[in-house]
Amino acid sequence: MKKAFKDMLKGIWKENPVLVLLLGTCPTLATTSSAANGLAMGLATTCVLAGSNLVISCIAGIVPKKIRIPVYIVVIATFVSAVDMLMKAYSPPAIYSALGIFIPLIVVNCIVLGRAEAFASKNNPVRSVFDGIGMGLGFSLALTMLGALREFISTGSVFEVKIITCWTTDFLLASAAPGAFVILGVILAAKNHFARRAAIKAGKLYVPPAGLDCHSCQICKLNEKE
Amino acid sequence: MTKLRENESVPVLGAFLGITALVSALVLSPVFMLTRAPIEKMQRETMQKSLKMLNLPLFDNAPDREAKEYISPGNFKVVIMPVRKAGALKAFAVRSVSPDGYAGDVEITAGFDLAGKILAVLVTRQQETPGLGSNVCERKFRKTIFNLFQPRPVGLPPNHILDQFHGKTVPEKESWKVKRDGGSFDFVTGATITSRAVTAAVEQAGKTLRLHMEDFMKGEKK
Repeated sequence: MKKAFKDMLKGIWKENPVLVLLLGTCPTLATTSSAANGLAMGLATTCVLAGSNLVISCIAGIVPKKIRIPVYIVVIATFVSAVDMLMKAYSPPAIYSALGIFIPLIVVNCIVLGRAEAFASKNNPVRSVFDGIGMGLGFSLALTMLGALREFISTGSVFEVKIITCWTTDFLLASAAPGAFVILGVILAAKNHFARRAAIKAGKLYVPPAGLDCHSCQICKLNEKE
Repeated sequence: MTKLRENESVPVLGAFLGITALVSALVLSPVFMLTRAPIEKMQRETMQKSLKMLNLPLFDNAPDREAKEYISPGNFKVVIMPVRKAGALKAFAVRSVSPDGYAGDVEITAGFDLAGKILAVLVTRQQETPGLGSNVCERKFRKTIFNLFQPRPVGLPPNHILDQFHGKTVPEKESWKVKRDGGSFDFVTGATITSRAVTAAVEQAGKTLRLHMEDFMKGEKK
């Protein structure tokens, strides 16, 4: 149980899917035009992740290796269709119409398939569910943060409540897709900068997370130069 | 079990995939059954909410149940909904879809009185650019930290572009244009396409109503 809890916590911060693993950037950039949209997208993904992780870790032992990816996709698609119908029925219409096509696209979100392949197929159901919830919450956290920042920079409001009331002209770059790239980049840079400073202060060597690590990337052959 | 895991024969793999898909369909069908009624209810509620905002006179029928579909002179899909009180025709709610938005369809719903005068215009479906084209379409009271806990003002939230149609009657022949195209209607700079789409949708709604108003007048005491 303690282990399962640890699995959950690591998804929220240490292995945050957006800020550390850099997975699922398409929904991250496309749906975060406001904080509420980001939060709704994050929660929908969390439900899919927890459900698909549970089922996949249960059936992983009997799925033939050759067709495991299509089988996983079918499982994920089932959960996404269910979430889509439930959201259409019970979520506020404004949220559903804003997220629109991005809900079905959770099927091809790398985080969901990535966790199925890398974690759920190798671990027991309980740990897998907690991993799914943790990853989902990490995703929601990152999306809400990015959404709130974009909403604030573009209109001066957060969760549709205007904080700076004299802000009358929208700054459209932040709410459009290019602004999303810029702001996500700034967040990533800031996170790495502070993590590095903390590591140096503690007298440790800073090892960037695998996704952002210069050494694990083979493009500029940094390994060979050293 | 390990046998199945290492299995590579095509029929077995095919059967496995088929069974997976079948199970998935079996799981999804009850979810579909369960959510069908709430989805319809949600759509009806959204519909009724928009009808309430159209400044229509009091009515007691379900306008969307008596709706009739037409193709307008400009080839737009137009739905005319008669608004009745105690069986007597009071006004019309007209839905019109312009395909020429910046990002797909722009659907407007407008209230018309029996003389064809526009009571209110509402954009009911759009995917225009947030913060630019969407400003042409949205009627929303802005929440701020100062009025967060105050009750919301009643009535139709203002929108300069949509409000300019109110009280006007769509002409029979000439078409409505925004100022940039030599017409008389204001538009939002940077969102001309959206402004044009909204103007055209309102115009087509009015023209279709002119042509087909008689269909609803039958059996009415004059």
